Amino acid sequence: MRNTLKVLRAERDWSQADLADRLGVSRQTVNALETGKYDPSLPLAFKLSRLFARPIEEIFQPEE
Amino acid sequence: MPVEQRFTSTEVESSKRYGREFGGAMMWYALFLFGAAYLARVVPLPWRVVVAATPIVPLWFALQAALRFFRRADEFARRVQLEAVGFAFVAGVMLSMAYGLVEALAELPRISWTWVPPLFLALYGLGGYLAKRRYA
Repeated sequence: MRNTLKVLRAERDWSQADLADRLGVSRQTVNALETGKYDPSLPLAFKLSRLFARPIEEIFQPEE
Repeated sequence: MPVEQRFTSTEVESSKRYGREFGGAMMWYALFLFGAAYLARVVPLPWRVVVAATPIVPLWFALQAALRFFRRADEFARRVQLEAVGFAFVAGVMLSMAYGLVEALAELPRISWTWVPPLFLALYGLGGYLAKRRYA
């Protein structure tokens, strides 16, 4: 899955650790999400959606 | 990078708790082990069997501490741990079975079964390193 997490995070001037703290996950988790090496569970995807006030499909897009 | 930036406060707290719980259990294990080794020499059978088995009690608490740490971890950390444990289990079984067969057929030196747990732990460490590298 592709995602816009890095851009959304940069817009808010948050570090990976800042985002991790807000999500209650580790910094490694945020890094794996941003690089697209790990796809989040639905609860974590909804958390991200609420945090960035964007629909899930706007943050995550399936690879073509 | 400072520790507080590499790890979130939740992770640091969880690791500290694990250290306290697991470390405490292992300290009791060491005491039980030395105590059992001493008592086993003076206690007659069949009580010697019971005495020799008592170090299992603190190990049970160590296992509980490890499980609690695993359950507190986030979903990605659990994925990494699962891959590490899976690697250690499969590779450990394969290696110990393969050596057991070779030992019997090629008359290689007999290795005590007590080397199997350290083998599993070493493979768990290697599995964790490989899984982390894969997602880095």
